[in-house]
Amino acid sequence: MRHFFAAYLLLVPSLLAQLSASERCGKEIYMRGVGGSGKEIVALLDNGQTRVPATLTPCGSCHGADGRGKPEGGVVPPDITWDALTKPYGVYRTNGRSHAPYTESTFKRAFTMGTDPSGNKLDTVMPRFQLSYEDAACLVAFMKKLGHLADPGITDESIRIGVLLGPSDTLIRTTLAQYFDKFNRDGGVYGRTVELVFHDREGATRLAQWLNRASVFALIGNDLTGAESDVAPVLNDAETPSIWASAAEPDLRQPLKPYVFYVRVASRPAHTDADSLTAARILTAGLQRAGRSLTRQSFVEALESMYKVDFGGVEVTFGPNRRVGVSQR
Amino acid sequence: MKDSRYILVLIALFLVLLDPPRAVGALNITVPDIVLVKQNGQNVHLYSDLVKGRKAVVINTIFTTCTTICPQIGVRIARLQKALAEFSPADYSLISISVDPVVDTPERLRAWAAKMGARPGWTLLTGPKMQVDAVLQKLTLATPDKFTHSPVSLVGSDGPDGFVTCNALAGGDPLIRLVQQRLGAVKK
Repeated sequence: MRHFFAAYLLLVPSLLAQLSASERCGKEIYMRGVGGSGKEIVALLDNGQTRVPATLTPCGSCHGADGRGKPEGGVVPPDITWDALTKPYGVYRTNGRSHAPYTESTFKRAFTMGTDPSGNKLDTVMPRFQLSYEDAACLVAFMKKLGHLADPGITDESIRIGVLLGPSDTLIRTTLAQYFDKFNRDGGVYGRTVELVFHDREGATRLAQWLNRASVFALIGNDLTGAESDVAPVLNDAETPSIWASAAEPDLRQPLKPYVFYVRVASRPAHTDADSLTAARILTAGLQRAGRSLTRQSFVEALESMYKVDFGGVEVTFGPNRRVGVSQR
Repeated sequence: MKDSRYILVLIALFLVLLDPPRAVGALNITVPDIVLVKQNGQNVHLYSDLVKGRKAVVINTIFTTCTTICPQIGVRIARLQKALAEFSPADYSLISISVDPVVDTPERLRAWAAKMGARPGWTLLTGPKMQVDAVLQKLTLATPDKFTHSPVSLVGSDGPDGFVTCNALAGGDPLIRLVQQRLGAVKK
């Protein structure tokens, strides 16, 4: 039965990306510290003497979107994927602590009371959380999916990228198709090829519906002029990274929309066709920088790490505060 | 003869035990008077505006895109500030310096401070990278890689007592006690 289920999941990769209602609720708790029951989740630090909302210290901010931990300043959060926690022969940590495999109830005890299955105290940096029974159950449901979930559009063999162009942009369409053809023939990126899905640029509402269906990892587009303030929020809400060749008035208000990047502030047709190719080059360079364990988050961070990178004579810099690649003179 | 030696050793031990914890590992640090930028965008002289005349000064490092330890440091400083409610910001100064000044604009620091519930008396600092780096060097808080910045708070005052270090991630009590000692609220 189990094998049958696993095979089924392999055949239908898009199912993996779908979470049940309680798993989705658990993901919100894990990533943002926001519970589904409407009751605020509280994080306790220093043996309960510091009470803060869990939104300040949600699980994912230390343990990472993949559960494998983000070491910082000498603090090494352990791998908390369900497979790692429940190894049948017990778990040995690098800090010398070892414990029996977790079960659902000992796992709940760990994040509420701060002890592992063998009764060892967890590190002081690990908060103890106060949350409802319902929220705890949701979190456990999500934990079992954590680390097994690929972001939309990623399979073992391919990365699906949406291309948003106007109906008359046939030249750039051909150019992009040729560019990615060659990219794939040259080996793609970490064993994956880029699969393009062309789509007509359209209004925000229809774009949102399409994004829901299309299961693309990221987008490139040639020009966002005139739709900046409508489309950018949709892309940002869908957490779909996008690289636009140009926009006359990109939406750069604070807080920045982290998922929307622009090659240049300009309106058509000055540089747009050439910059669409630059957008494609930035995309592939970002995929290369992000590595094999690709997520949308690691891809956005890879783009942000670009400092004065030369793309065929166009010098591009992005950063956590910077979403326009080419500086204006 | 032998007995008197034992007694001397015992007296020495007794003195060591009596010695207040603050004196252990006091650092030879002078706070430089370099100009940095506050979270509201104003320039400040680090020593003359934020340290001079203060009985207690706490300095640590953060950066706003840090997700693992900086929020934890932040909530502990916030708890410390709550414990200092009876004192005025003229008595104490809590200072968090960004180790990533290029990314951490004053707006970013302001948003981060608001999230942590910072009140007047807690200043977040950024500035031109050269200046920030110079300050961090002087304070022995410099780090080549922001992800390895040390989770340490310097606790001291404007005076001859000097600064001591305190683990910024350990439970908040030792930190609160150190600061209250400097403020004279509890016995040293």
